[in-house]
Formats: sequence, C-alpha cells, structure tokens
Amino acid sequence: MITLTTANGYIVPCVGLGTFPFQGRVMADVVKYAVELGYRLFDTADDYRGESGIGLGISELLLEGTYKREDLFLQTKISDNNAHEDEPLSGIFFNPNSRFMKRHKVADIVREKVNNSLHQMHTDYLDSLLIHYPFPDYMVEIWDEMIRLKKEGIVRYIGVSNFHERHISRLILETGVRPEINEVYTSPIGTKQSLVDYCNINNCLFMTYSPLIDLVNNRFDNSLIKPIAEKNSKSIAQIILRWNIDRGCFPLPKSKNVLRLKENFDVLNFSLSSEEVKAISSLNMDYQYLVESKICPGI
Amino acid sequence: MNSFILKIGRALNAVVRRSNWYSNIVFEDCNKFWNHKEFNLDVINLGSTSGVHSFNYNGLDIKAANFALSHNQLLGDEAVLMNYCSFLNPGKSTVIISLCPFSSLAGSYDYFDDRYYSILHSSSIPYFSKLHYNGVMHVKNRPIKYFPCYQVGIEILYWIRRLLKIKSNCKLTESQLEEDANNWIKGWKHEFSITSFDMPLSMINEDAINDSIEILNRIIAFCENRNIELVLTIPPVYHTLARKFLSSFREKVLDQMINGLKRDCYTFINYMEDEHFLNDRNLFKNSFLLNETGAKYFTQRVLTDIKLIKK
Repeated sequence: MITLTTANGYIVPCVGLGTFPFQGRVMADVVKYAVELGYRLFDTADDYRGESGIGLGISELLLEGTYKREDLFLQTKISDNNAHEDEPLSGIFFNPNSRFMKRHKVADIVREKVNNSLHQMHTDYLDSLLIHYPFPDYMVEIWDEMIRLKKEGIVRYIGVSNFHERHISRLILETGVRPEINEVYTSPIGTKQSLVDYCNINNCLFMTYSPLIDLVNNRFDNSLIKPIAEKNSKSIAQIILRWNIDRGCFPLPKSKNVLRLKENFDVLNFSLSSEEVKAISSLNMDYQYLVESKICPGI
Repeated sequence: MNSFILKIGRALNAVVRRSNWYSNIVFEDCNKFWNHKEFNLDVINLGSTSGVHSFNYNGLDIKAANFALSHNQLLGDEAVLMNYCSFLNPGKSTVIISLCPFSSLAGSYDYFDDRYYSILHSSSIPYFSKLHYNGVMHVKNRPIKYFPCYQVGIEILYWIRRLLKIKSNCKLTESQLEEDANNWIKGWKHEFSITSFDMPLSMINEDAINDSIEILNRIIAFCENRNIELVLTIPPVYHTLARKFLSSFREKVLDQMINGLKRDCYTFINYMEDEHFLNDRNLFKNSFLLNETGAKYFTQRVLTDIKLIKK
C-alpha cells in the first residue's frame, strides 16, 4: 500500500478522520482527542465550515506543547461550495455560467481558497490538497495551479477526489503530473474495484470517505461479515475498515463519539486473509448512495 | 348554487390576500406598490430592510412614499426607481437611497425573487421568463389555490402574537440588544462568506463592490438627467451593533464604494453613529432596525438636514 508521511518524516497511520460536518468547539475537541488516540490525518474541505475548528484544536494542541504541527497531516479540498444547503456561494465557483468565473482566473481562485484554508487552520502549509470533484471545465486549470503550489512548498501532496479513471488519465495526459491521492466513496456494496486497481497501478493512494455509511444505514445484510468479525474478535465496522486497508485503501471514517473514534482506529493490529477480503467484496452490487454527476454535471 | 360557491371562493380568496403569508411572505412589501395612487411626490426613499423600517412620513407636511423593499439589493433599487419615477414631481423631487453597511457586498445580486414580477416591468427583471411571470401572477390573483394548509395555524399564531406585541410594546433589554447585534453580524458574515473582518476582502466581495459602484453611478446619472436630487444615507443603528463594525472594515466595504461614485452629484449623510440615536433604546425595534417612533424621528431629521422641511 502507498504510504503518506508527515512533514517530519513519520508514516501516517492508514486510518484518517473524516470531519464533515463538525464545526467550532466540537471539531476542536474531536481533533484533540483523535490525536491522543493516534490519528494523524484529518480530512476536510474548504466548504465544510470545519477548518476553523480544526485550526482551533491544533492551536490548543501546539500550545500544550506535546505535539508539533509537523506531527499532523491536514488534508483539505478545493470545492465549489456545495456542502451545505444554506451555502451562500453555491453556483459561483467552477460553474461556467457564473459571472464570477468569467471575471477571474482559475489560478487566482485556487490561491484565494488555499490562503483562506491556511488562515482558518492556523498553518502555513497543507499536507494534502485535493480537487473535490472533477469539475469538467476547470479541473486541468485547477490542477495546474495545484502543481505550482506544490512546487512552492505550500502543499506537500496533491490529489483528487471523486475522480474516475478517465479524469485521472486526462490530468496525467495534459499536465504529466499524476495525482498522489484519489478520495472516493466505497463500501462493501459499492467496491469500485476497477478504480481501486487503476489507482494502485498508477501509484495513486485510494482514500475512502464514508466507509461505514452503508453499514450504519443497514443497507446490506451483514451475516457474511459477522463470522469474520467473531473470528477476529472485532466489530463489523472494524472488519469493514480493515477490508478497506487490505484491498489497498485508506479509510476516513467519521465520528465524534469517543468510543467509536477509538474503535475505528483500532484496526491496525490484525489483517484479513485474501479469502476474507474477496468474500466481503462479493457483496458488491455497484451501489452508490450519491451519484457524483448530481453534484458535478457532465462529470 | 354555483354562484354561491363562487362567492364563497371569492370571499376566501380575499381573506387569503389579507393574510400574513400573502402580504409578508410571498409578496412582501408589494402592497404599497400595487396600491400607490399619489403622483407629484416630493420625496421617495428606496433601500432594503433598513430602508423599510427607517422611514415613516406620517404627520409630515410633504408628499412622500417609502418605496424600500425588504431583502432588496441595489439592482432592485435601480429597477424600482426606473419603474416608479413618474410618480415623482417633475419639477423638483428627491430620492433617498438608504444603504446599510453591507449594501455594497450585495452589488452582484442579479436574481430577483418572484414578488418583483408583480411590481416591475419585464424589461427590468434579469432573466425574465414569461412562463414564470404567468405563474407568479396566478398566485397573486388566486392565492386561495396556493395557500398552504399548514399556514392556517401559523397565521392564527401570527395574528395573536401581533396583537399581544402591540399591547405590550416590549422593548429589548441592553443584553438582548447585544445578543441581537451578534446575530446580525453572524448572519451577514454567513451571507457574504466573510470569515473575519480583519482579512482582506475575497475576490467575490471585491467584484460585488465594483458592481455596486456601477449600479449607483447609473442611478446617479439617471437622477442627474431628470433633475432629481439624490441623497445616499446610512440609517442609525444601536451602539451594540455600531461598535462591531471595525473602522478598517468600514473602509473596505463602505468608503471604497462611496469613493468610487461620481462626485458632486449626490449628498451622502451617514447616521450610523449619530449620537441622537446611538444610545436611545426607545427608538429601536432591535439593534439594526428603528421602531415606528425612531423611524418618524429619523425621517424628520433627514428631511430637515436636506432642507426639505424646516425644524
């Protein structure tokens, strides 16, 4: 599996924390507690409204003196401001019909968004910056600017999110630079195996957001996973997270519940056999709870 | 029998047209435009929510109308002025535009909500759709067909609350006004995506200011061509709100806009921190909006300052 490192060279444990939709004090407390548990990677986006809470948590941690900024791995995304229903800027960014996009260069928009994220998270560099969706008319221009940001040392890793094979190959074809991360939703009933394989072949780390959402919403019969969980003395959620890791993915479960934060991180001390991984993958029915093209038409 | 049912239907339609849902939600502030019949006005005021609440010409010896609309933007002011300018006295008249601290940041808003279809000509409405217009006018004329059932209870509660409020005439305490000011600021920060007043303005807000300047300059030229005196004013706010606008931020959003306007063609009076209002709780409905007493006092003050009436 492809590994990520923090700025001081340590390998990032392959379970990160999804943070949407936490904000403010709640977010700060979750971040602080998660760091104590061993989490290092925190995933957010510029439209989640959680960056300032992460910044608050980090500032408090740094003040306590136990951790340095370099111990942590902060990942955010360039978005079209679509995460909240009451978002005042929806329809503005990366929309070819918006007046704003006709007036400004994509490079300037990306810069402004990154500067805002840096300010909110009280940091002078980002460990990872992703394009939230493959905005059909803008992804290459955004990617070009992200490449420049990486060269300048403002961003350490650059990647994408919700990208399919053809989007990634377009970026590679047009810029010659491959994304280092692709963050996508998968679950046992929507394995997206061909995309996972494509990313693994292209040395692009496959991160999975909402890895437990289908379990939480009882969208599949877990009678097949139960015996595997019993055999390994783990919960079904832990088995699904481990299934992610053992098929080369980096899961980003979300929780603010102390026990679940602990449980979700406690998956690094065992592994599944290849038969068990295959068995869980056999639940696949190409299920997708939110089609990306609904957020990004023409994807 | 049929005519009896029709009569009942018409009566219910008339009741719905008097409802809070119709007058204050779907067609907020439109009644005054539909029913305005007086010509040769000496003065009108435009503006947004603060304009609606800041001007009250009752008892003044002047022909005037408050043409401000709640949740209005500068483009709406321009459209209202163009559509209703023939109500003004062709000899000499004054247009007062009431600005609020964030008016400039709404300069790029170019989408008019449905109620504008009932008060403006189609050529004044960006992205006008005839189909949509037909729909809106149908709601306007036959609201009974659209009145939501759940609204009945809300409507009753509204009228009860309104009656009680009139009786108690309750004023907010100092701490409530402090909290209210925080809520206004929080709302504006959200609306205009401002993370901090200390940070430089985002590109989208810079665009909005430039668009505001463009619209106001068009209004200035319009008034100049028709010999209309233009007054730009910022109504007073309570001190709990006034002190939350850092001077550096005011410079960015307000001064930048005013400095971009064609000079010597308008009068600008800023009452935001006027001592007569700043600390007088009796004049305010909340930290941002004047109450009826405050509006009458403020209107008199403005008209005196621009010499339309004598003290």
